[in-house]
Amino acid sequence: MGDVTGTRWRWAVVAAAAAALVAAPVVLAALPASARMDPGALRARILATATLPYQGYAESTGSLGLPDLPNLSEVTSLLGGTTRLRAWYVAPQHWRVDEITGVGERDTYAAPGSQFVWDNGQNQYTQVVGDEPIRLPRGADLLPPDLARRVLQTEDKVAALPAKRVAGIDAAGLRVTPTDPQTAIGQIDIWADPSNGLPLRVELTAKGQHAPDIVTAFQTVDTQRPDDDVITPKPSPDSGFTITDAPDVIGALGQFPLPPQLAGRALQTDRVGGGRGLGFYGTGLSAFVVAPLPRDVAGGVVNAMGKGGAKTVTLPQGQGTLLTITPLSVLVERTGRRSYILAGVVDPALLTQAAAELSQLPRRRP
Amino acid sequence: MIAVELRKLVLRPRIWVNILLLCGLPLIVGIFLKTADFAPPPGQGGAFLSAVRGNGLLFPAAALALVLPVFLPLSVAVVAGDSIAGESVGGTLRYLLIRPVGRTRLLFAKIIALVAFVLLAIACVVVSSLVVGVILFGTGTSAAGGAAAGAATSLSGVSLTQGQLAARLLYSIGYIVVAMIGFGAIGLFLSTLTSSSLGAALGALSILITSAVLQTLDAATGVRPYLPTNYWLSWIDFFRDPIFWDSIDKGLLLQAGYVVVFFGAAWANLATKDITS
Repeated sequence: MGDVTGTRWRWAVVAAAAAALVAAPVVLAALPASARMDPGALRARILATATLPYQGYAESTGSLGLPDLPNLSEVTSLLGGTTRLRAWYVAPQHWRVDEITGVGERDTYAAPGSQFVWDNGQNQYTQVVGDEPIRLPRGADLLPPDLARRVLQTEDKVAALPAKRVAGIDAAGLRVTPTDPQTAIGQIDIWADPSNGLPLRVELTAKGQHAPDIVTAFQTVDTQRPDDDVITPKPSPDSGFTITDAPDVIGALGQFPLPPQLAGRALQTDRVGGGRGLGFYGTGLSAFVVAPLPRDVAGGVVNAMGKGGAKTVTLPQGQGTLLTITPLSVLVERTGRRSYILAGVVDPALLTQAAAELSQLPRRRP
Repeated sequence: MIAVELRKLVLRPRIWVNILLLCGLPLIVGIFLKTADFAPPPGQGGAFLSAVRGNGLLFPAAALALVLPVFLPLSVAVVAGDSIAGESVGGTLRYLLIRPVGRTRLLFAKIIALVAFVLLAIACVVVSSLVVGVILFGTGTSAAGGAAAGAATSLSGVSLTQGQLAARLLYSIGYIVVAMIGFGAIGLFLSTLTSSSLGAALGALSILITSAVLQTLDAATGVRPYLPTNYWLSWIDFFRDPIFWDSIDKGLLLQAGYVVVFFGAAWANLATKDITS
């Protein structure tokens, strides 16, 4: 029994089994992809998917090493780590997205006119009544269909990319090169199912970089319409429940009116409830956000940015703190009693210019 | 042969000491939770720990989360490492094989005994923690808000009935048993390599620690899906609503792979090894 041949064939069987098992996932992932589609037609098909139901699981990985900014840790973790998302989508106003972690989850349910957020960590349901004209980025924004449609809405310069297999689907690719020279985004690569246009994978790469900074892709996806039961929030009687009005979020943030234009970019009045509080300037990939910061929070933010390697910029009035983590730039402008935070995936010079203009605003409220 | 191995398993005092220690950790944690007036902040500490204060029926889930990362694999490593090497140390392996017992059959009996140990250990942890949980924290019937008797909240905020909770707990137990068998297979293979039980157990533990370290290392992302511990905690996905099968399925496939490869390697090694002790 102990002869050499006996040893050999047994070990050979085991080695073959091990090799086959290790190779199986690699082979499955490397199945050839050949889908081709005219990039312009693919773009049009992707933009038409807003009403295409789907359900699936996606993972988004960001490699932006942001410092942990006070009150913004949820945003920084979206951009600087892996976010695991389960999604059930029916229509733009009717979906559910779960951000899952090892021991918990944070679920958002959208229904016409309101949103429910379940936070397992807080054991709390929150109903946000009314549409939020402006809000912080959240996990659902990183789902490939959402991100791809948002990018393609304002960008139409697209070129074909080789096909890729995503979640087992032979997906056709296209590359978006932003037209505005002042964005810090170099390119966005999108792969979508050519049969229905559903975006499956999005890679966002900063200017001058080779590796993408944010990659979001479905691991599994299906265009079967999710059951209504799954996308209807069912608060447990054991959990807390609060209701808040969406417009309050803006009202609480500041009373100073924002100028209609900053750094040559127009304020998007339709998105900010009259231009008070928060504001979006510019469009598409060169848009940046301006928000007033309470003084106590501003100090903490500036300290955290300092630890992250921020530099000080001199403004005509007051001072600015600028942190650039390619492709994102964040600038805190402080003048007397007032503080603003400016952020966007834009050229830092654009933010500096906007901050300079902000610092020269009259100090008194009208 | 299998009956002999099973009898040996239940008659060994050290097996019971092992299981007693396993049940002890959740008991200690439960007592501390009860005597302290505050729950661990939700989302921090062990899974389900903040929820068990409201409903003792969730304590078995919390207990599994407590013993799974280190204690349970430690016990499995000790038992698996001892299975062949222990016979070798005691000088009984030679005699065992003199009987008309094939080596493959001996190995198979050892595997069955290992599976039995895993089942027994987990059953003891679940039952003891259920008793401890209900005694210390009640069944949640007194919860405010008119919740159904014994209802617990899933990770997705949806109420689970007692029946659903029991079913999900059973699924979790099944999953953890499979995970431990996968890990036990490594221990069993190491046990055929050496004549030292301790060496085999420590070898298995060093693989556990290496896997746990690599799991947290970003640079090792490429090998992560192959790490034995990678999907161990995916049983928590049974407590989501709807159940999240993605990681569970991957975890089961991975453990099946470990079982095939390492039981195969144990078989290849033992069947052809020169038994000298």
